[in-house]
Amino acid sequence: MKELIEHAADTGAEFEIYTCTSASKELKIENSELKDAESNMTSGVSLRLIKNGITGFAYTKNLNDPRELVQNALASLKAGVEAKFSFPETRELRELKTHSEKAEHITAEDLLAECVRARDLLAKRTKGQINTGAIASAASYRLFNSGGTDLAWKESSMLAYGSLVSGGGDVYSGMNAGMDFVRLPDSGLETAAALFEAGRIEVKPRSGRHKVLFMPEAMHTLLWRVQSGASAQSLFQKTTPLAGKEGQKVASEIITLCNNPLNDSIPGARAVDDEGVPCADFPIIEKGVFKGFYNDLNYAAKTGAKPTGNGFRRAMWGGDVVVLRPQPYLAHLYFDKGEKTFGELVKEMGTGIIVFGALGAHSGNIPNGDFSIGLAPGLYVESGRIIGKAKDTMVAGNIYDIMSRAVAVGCESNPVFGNNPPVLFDGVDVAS
Amino acid sequence: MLDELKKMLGRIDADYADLRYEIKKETVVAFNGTELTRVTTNSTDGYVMRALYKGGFSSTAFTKPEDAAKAAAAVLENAKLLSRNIKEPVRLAGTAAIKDHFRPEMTEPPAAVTLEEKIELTRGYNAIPLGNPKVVSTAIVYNETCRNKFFVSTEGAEIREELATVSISGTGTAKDGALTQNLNFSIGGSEGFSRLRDRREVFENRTKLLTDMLSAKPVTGGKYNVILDPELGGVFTHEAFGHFSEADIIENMPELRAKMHLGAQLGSGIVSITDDPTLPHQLGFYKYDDEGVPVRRVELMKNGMLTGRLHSRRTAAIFGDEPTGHCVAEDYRFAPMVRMGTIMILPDPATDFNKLLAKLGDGLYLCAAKGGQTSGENFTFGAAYGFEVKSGKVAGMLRDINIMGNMFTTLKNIAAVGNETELSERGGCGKGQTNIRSCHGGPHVLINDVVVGGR
Repeated sequence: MKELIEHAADTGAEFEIYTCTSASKELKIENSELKDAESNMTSGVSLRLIKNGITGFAYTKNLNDPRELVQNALASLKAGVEAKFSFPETRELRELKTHSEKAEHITAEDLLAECVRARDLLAKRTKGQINTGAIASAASYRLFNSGGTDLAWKESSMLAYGSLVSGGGDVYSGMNAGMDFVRLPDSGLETAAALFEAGRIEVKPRSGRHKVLFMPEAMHTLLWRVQSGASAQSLFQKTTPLAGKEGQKVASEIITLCNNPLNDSIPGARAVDDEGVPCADFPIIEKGVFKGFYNDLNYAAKTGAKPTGNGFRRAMWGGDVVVLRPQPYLAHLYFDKGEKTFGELVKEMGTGIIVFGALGAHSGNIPNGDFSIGLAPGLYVESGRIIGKAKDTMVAGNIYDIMSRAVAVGCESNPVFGNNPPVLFDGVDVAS
Repeated sequence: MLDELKKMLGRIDADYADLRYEIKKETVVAFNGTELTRVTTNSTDGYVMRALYKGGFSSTAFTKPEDAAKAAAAVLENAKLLSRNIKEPVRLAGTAAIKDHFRPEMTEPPAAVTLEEKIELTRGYNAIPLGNPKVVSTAIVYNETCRNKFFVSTEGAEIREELATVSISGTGTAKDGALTQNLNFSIGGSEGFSRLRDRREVFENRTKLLTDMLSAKPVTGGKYNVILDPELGGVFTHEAFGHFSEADIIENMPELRAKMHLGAQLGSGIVSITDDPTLPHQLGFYKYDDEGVPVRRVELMKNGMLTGRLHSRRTAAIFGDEPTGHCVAEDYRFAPMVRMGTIMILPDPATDFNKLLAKLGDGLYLCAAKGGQTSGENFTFGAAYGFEVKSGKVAGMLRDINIMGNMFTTLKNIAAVGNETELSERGGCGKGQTNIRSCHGGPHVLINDVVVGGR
């Protein structure tokens, strides 16, 4: 690392070095039998340069030759990719709990024991295909730049699930996540078993407009579209329908949607983004009003805005943090909770659909906010009671349209889904 | 390198072990609108070690060669854990221990083309949509991925395989008032840089379609008879059927596995499907999978009857079949899993497009894939645009189209297939790992009673 810093400094350019070292263990039980036990140990380093307003980028998994990495970054300067920003000076990190030493001592046997316990509990509750699994991971990061930033942080997590799979492949799951060893709550597994039983009956809902309850498991359908619309990149590229709507009402006043990176009650909290800009909690939509765009250093400069601390090395499907360059990303986007329990939401719905899984959330016209998803699974509700699984059914709409018709927000959440609660919308198109 | 790998592998006290080392070189040139936003050429590398110990089979990925001993200990520990806790010990179907160095023939190796030329070609194609005043943005990327793979096993396999794919792909976004529409552009293959030259017409045609979409009507949700174009038909074949021909998907799904026994009549008599990674120049082309097994063409369905599956060595042993060479990893970060290569419905020489339209009568003609997904028997995918068909004539343009269905019902509802085959030039399957070499296509396909979900 020292050698890399020296070579990078010798270029006379501003530079940023990002390193990540991670290890994980994963266990899977499929159809009640142990299927996989795997592990990995990976590392990598990436380098960004800014020289005369031009940026270069290079990465490697093995820093055998720091000089070569610098040469690759210098070579990419020739392409003339503009950078109208400088790397920030951030001396201190806000103290957040993002790592537990205990996570590094979780063994494959520990994971297996929890997977087996969940399997056995589900097997007592219902007959069906049971899959369980758990993954424990830990990673350490360092961000060093020529502006005076030298930050290091660690993250750890364990995620576990217990699922029932229908003959047709619909999955009903209980899940949990934490910074070190977590148990799957019995209540979550029992709920999954009850929903699985309810889904044994297939119902053909009537096509038309219905109330639709998006559960946390399907909330990414909405969040991806908000993320696209509220990005300074979309603003700069003139593809967002939210352009010029800052301060305007774009949703029902029961909708508050916040960027909450500082919430360290769940894994993944961040005090600083992947460019060294301090993270902050702020609303994207507050009581239905659009509050503004989020950005990274690049698009902050391009749109003349202050950096918001949202430059993350992430893509829609995750990705390798070393290989990806920072881009505007809302890694911690949650709906504020309301007051209704799941049972109250179902009663309030009267007749409609509960979306537990979304098929095709990544397709459709995302920049415009449009979605059209298959239900995998979705349950049909009539007179406030779950009647059965909605067979061959799709729900479709535009998020800005349906968010203006949000009628209730739930009070229950799951850390696996960023603590997002269920949200009930009225007037959503259902095709069956 | 192969000798170094053999030394690393020698440290494992297992019944079987293999080690794959891979150097992955990527060149990326990205434009967002007129702005060149990224140009990088990078090389990364890493290892995946697998071990079979008394029926327990595990893998470990690592990036530092000095971690080889630690990786060997970890993989063996996991294999032993599996061995103690599984009912059915893993067996690996037999395969020849091949020694080979495979370099596919290329008309123009991408390494021989300068970075400047790659940038200029991409810039030129990117300028085509941007030349239309209705197009407000583009995200067009040149992507070159070269995998230089070294594979050794304790059975004596020593294989080096060098694969390269190139593509220029991305999205154009057009806007008219509050309405935004987008459409993918994609050219690419595995025969070298020549695949990308002289392809302006692709970008010109798609640009026209993109701007036409601004005048299209949103589709009304409901049930329709539809014709899928080859691009969308390929996605259907991949998503709705292909994933269930992957033996590792169905091995632990008892109900699905029972339904999908060889000899089962799953589709209408017009449907025959193959997966053929040996087709040269396609995205799905390779010679050896990441277990060192030579890949072969597999007939998956013949006249509606299930006739084959795609296998790894492990799943081939479970199903009592021969390995097919379809166990592929995204790169050095992953253990291999069963993947499709080039999957397609076979054409019907007797049915041209006009006959398909006449047979459809009233319905929808749906075009251009916009992402798909599978969950159990159910699938969904988006169509970028489509057309109403009235009395066998193509009429007004439609937008905001997604369809869903059940695999078994839909395969039986295939009423006809066209006589021309087109294969996709855009890969990308996300079954746990991203497989950029996933290729699909086929003829036009007429399907009855499809649920269309509007936007």
